[in-house]
Amino acid sequence: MLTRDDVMAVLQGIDDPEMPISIVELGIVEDVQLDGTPDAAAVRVRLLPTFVGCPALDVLREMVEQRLTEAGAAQVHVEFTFDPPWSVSRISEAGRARLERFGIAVPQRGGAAPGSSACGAAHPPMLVQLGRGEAGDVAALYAAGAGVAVRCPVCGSERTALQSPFGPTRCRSIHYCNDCRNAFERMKDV
Amino acid sequence: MSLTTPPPALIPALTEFLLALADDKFFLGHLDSDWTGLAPLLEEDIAFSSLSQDEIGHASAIYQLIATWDGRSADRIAFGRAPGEYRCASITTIEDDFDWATAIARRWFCDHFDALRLERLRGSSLAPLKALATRMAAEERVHTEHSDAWIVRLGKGNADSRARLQAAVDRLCVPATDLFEPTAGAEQLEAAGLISAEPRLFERWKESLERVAAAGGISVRVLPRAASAPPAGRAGRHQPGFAAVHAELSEVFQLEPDGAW
Repeated sequence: MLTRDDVMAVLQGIDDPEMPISIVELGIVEDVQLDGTPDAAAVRVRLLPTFVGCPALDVLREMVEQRLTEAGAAQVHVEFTFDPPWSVSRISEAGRARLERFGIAVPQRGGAAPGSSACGAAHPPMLVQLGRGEAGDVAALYAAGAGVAVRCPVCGSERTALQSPFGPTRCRSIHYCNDCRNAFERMKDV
Repeated sequence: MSLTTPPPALIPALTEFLLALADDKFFLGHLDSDWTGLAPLLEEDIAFSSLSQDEIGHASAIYQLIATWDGRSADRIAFGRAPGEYRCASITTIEDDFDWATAIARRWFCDHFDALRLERLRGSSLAPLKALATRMAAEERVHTEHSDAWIVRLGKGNADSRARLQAAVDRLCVPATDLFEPTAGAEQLEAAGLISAEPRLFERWKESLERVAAAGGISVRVLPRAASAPPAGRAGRHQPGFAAVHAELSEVFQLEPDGAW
């Protein structure tokens, strides 16, 4: 029969559709419940979307249903909820390390280091930025990442600058490292 | 007191309020998505597309919430209503004809209104609505920051960008006040704690617009919607532009309304 540990092990083996990180390590598995009979387990999984408009939710639902069915669940019910809201603080240490190896920076738990906006100001990025020249504009447009020292996941330098708060997916922003000259992404601290 | 489902007597009024919210986001997101591939800069193309994705995603989540008590599917609610059953305000159906200043001004008026509207839902006694509104409000903050930055940038750009922005703001500030047309039964929802009352809604909206306009060196003159104004979008009475946008966004659904996607 399927136990809760079995279910968690299956979920641990499922990667997010858009990033090389287990959905458990990403912190979007909020709850798992087993009902039904010992021979025909019914599994209910509550998942937290990273963003309300995340387009990967249907894919995620299908993957969880398929893998748990293969593992022996008679019924699988996947539910998305916003209570509690997902945040980057839910990403596990193992998940952080895996994302960093992949080249995606992850904000520190318990808030990012404040007062380090000088990195970006002292080394203007090479690409076109919106609102450059007006301090207020840049601060407003990039408020989600302004004033935060972002560590480059490639070389570890903090001499990095925000390129765009809108990256390849809604939960990631784009940055540039002024030391190793690599562009990299960061999980948004939303 | 926290509710998991709305009291049956308040379902009609709650559905009206939430349809207005979702329809505004759905139509705005649809119009803005026209800019995908065409925005002035590559970074902005991604930004504007991301904002459209947010709006349509927010609308979808609200339609799904309504579907939990409505009996119709979220897709049916989104695409399958008759034109008179949509509750969007007129500004969300005004096409920009690929004038960037108009697209930015349209977003700006709507973003500041949405920030205040979501605030009214964050204290809702309906638990799933409160949770959804809390998460949406966090994302919406990026929207106002984005449109504010563009208002300032175009306003301070050069004479041409300032003149075009000012013209767009002047043209949209009357239809923008249609956002304030109350939905049927909204006062019942306030009395029951499903939404928070905000007597200074218009004043707060006006103040936040004026603060940003001043930073950009442009003017914004908005007047409160008259109580005697005729019924508009919130009552399903739409401007002529609505029909074309509605036909376009529901075109695929209408090919096979009972199809599975």
